[in-house]
Amino acid sequence: MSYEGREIVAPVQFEPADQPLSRSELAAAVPFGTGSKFDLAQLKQAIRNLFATGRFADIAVDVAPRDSGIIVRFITARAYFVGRVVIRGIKPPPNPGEQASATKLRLGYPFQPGDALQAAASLNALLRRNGFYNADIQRQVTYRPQTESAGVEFDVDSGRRAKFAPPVITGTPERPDREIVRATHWMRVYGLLGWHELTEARLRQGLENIRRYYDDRNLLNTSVTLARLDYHTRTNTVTPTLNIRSGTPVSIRATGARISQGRLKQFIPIFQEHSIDNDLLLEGQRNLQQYLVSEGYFGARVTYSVEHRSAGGEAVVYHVDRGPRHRFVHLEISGNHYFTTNTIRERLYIQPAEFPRFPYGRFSQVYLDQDVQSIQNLYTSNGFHDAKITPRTVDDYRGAKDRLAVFIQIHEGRQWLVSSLHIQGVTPEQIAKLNPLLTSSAGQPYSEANISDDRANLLDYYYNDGYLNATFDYSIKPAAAPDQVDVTYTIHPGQQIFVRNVLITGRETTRPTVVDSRVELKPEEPLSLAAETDTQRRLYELGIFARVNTAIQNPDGDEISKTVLYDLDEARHYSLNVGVGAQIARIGGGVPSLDNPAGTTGFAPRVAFGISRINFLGLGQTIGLQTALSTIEQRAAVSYFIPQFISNENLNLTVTTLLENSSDIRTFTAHRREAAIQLGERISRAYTLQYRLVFRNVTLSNLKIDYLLVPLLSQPETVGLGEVSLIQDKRDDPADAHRGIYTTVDLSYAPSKLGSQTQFARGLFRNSTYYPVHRDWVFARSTQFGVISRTGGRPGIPLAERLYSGGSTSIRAFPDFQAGPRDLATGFPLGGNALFINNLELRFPLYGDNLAAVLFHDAGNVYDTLSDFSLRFRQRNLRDFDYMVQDVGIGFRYRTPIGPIRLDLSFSPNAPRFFGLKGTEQDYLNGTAISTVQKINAFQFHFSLGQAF
Amino acid sequence: MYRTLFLLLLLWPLRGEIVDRIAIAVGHQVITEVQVDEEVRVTAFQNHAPVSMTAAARRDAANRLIAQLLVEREMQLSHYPAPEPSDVDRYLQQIRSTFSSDAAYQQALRDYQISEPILKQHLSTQLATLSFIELRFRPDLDVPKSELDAHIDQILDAWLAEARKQVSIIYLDKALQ
Repeated sequence: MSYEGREIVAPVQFEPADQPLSRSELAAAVPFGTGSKFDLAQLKQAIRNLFATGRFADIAVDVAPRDSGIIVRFITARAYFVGRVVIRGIKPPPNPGEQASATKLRLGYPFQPGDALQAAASLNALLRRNGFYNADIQRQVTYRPQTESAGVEFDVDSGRRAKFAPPVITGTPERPDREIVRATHWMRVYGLLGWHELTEARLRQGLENIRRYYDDRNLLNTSVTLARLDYHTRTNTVTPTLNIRSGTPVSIRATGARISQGRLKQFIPIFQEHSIDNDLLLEGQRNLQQYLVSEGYFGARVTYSVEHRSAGGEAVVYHVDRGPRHRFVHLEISGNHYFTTNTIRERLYIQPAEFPRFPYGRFSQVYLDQDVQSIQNLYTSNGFHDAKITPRTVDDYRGAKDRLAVFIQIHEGRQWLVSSLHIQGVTPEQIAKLNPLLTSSAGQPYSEANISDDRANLLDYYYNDGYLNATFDYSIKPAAAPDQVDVTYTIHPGQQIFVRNVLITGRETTRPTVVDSRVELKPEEPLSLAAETDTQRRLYELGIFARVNTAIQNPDGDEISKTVLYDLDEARHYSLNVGVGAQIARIGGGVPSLDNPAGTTGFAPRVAFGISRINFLGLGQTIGLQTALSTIEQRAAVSYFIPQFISNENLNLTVTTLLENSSDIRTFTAHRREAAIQLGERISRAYTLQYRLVFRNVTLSNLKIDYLLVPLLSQPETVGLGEVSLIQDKRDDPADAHRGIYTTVDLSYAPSKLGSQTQFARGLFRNSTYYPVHRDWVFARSTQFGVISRTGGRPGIPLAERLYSGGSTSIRAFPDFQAGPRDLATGFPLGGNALFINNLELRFPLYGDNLAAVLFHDAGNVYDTLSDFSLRFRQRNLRDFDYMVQDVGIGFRYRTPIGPIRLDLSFSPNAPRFFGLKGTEQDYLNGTAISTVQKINAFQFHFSLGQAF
Repeated sequence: MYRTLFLLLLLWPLRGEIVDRIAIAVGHQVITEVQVDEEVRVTAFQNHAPVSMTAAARRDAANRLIAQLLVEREMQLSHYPAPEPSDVDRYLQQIRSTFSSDAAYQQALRDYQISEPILKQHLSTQLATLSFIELRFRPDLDVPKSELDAHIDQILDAWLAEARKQVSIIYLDKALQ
């Protein structure tokens, strides 16, 4: 029966009544209603509109006659989207990431009823590849109409992992099966302990090991394939069938230059690729040539030939003509006006000879071509579209044989400028907001790089304001004035998308407020991609989630509001760390002998253990115990850390209690009991403030000096401190700064109101700056100043609170904590009330990219009081410690991913001499110890990690 | 679960007649049952063949519609030009000329239960597909003219197979699968 043209006599109905779209959204999608004439084409469009929102899985329309017309009813099934996917019961491998990936269920994407079954099949296939042949996978799908999400849970009983059985070897292996099987490493201890369990990685590695086995015998082109895996249910084992076709012997050598087999294997990739073909041999030829060029043979020529041996196999011969060894001695850049020569040289890879780092320089025609292109790009990106870069190389420069010079002549041409910039597609109000984001504007250089920046900035602006489908186009045309262009940007913002809801899944023990307070997206606000990822970052930074997955539900659906999903995986609640190490330094001697107050080279083994409970009480906070045990330190600290304190990502709060016995200052052993609370505030990226309240009680034992001489200084002392620290960090790389500034100011006050038995104030100031002086050369300087002043209470600053210095990060003329005043009888350090240290360093590359050296000068000391501060070079007598100790030295740095490894050797021309004792503590107490003159050794070495400052 | 509910709603209360519903979902686009039927009738009309609403004929029609949708998507993404209205009119004129008279043409439209706007829409889609093939594949072909069509068919089939992999195609009407 045809209803075409009949009148619709009632409002369009939707069933069920609970629809995923609002009434107004439904009305907008259906272009007819009461009084309209029924039109199949319009109906088709309505179905299309509704389905395009992505919120419906199925739509049917029925029509029934009523009175003189008809009524129309849409019968719909709502769509569901992938929600939280949980997989339980699998012992890795495969790891959780691989498991999740195998299901192919993407958060927020449409979920079809068959998807869970398909996901289970994929998961099962993954498990079989990892030896779980008897896995039982139970799946459960939970549909939640309120959130339109379908959560899928897989409960896996993986069973026992199958083990390898002896492989079957087919083909023409030409080697004994026994050796091949051994090469796989699938046997445990040569088979004495049976066979390893099957995992995908182990299977793959076994095949790779066989290939390597053949490579080691120069049998390249050997084909090793896994023909099949046969599972034996009864024994739960798997027999791999390997098909091996042995390759022919290949030898490789170089003529015309001595190049070791190791280098040949490194440069010629036939060994890495397990095959031999022209492409790989050509790549080897290029690699060898580059290697020779890097050694100074700038004109080296390499060719190769392949000889087929009558006995079978091939011999690859690389014919090397090194030519004379050159030295790249001169680089000259001329014609540049807009950019300084330094700016251009920073971009060049070629490098004139520079001892000792580049004894022959770094040059090749390929490098030069790349550098010319790099200069060209620099000019083009700044509007010099007519720039011409002409390189010229001169051999036998200035008559010196094999000396190479490179001249780079730059013809800048005229700079193209933007005459005018028009923005189309947006309102004048919006243009006013967009203008500050733009690099291109009237009078600015015209370049595609600037336009690309503008494009990124403009699209970011729109993406962050909910215009997720915004597009950008631009066009240019010559302006009236020469070398100027008119630029037009056309923006199509598209539909603005709003947040309908924010759904958080996976929160198990974490309290809702911990997560909710960090979500920046709010319903009905524009959906900002930046806010979405910022929220993800803030959740990660809590440190309590192993994974924070975010997605937009129904990403391709054509609708104006979207649900944003966050799927969380809470991290393990406990983390343990155990460390074993040792310290070698001048920490030896002194027990019971008093012979070496400056210390002798000693060895201290060290064990550290820590346990942390993260997300304590579900609040996102961490409580931890850290302990350390060594012969010079025993320490236990319990800390409670609150990140993003009061939901402010710039604040954190730490409460710490500490028990410590420490003998790092050789004069005494300090027994410290301490409680501290610290509020950290990040003011900006470069500035941090810390506020601390510290309460500690320190008692001393093993005092090397007569406690009768320092009766008050050595008494148990309770200190209550209020402290403020300001940290300014503008270094480019904190582990190895090349430029920037680093400043710390620490101010403390110990008043009686906080329980201090001795009231004092302390200030410590440190400022370091770093200057690049010549390419990779860096001049670094650091100044430290500290003072401590008693304001009341006991008559002197207690020993443990005084200032100590000396060692690898302060004055390298001294072993650790050996600077400053000393006990006049025993020579052990007493610390002081004022401190001044100045360090100068010239850091420069030494060899290649990883080895560097440092020339340094340190000056300073710890002084008895501030009024005793002196710049004096000479020590007046053996009781004088208030002068400036200086040292010079050289250090070596080897770059590693965790910072440079450091060795510093210092020489001090005015290291202190002082009275000490020969004998034991008992001799000292009996008065039989012999007074001797002792000294800090003029030569010191320091070995550690990281730069000195 | 929700499919069951949907079926229950379709059966109860039985108040009216289903006039159209989604037959196939191609990504976020749909092909309705009415479209499939139209495609069968228009094809029969163009071939002067009797209308055969067999399962096989409807499956063939559904496959053609999927291919057309994929081509339309690609044309939109790659900014291919749509056929000009004058080209569609010319094509319609060619179709009309295959009938003995205008009256015969009009009678045929009535017999096949298709309107001229529907016919024009189908012709426009056919022209768009041909244009896409011309622009996309023909310039790269370097084969004798006699083998050209076979080659184009082969390349188009391969392209369609790949395009079908890139998009989710759900047959809500299982008879069309």
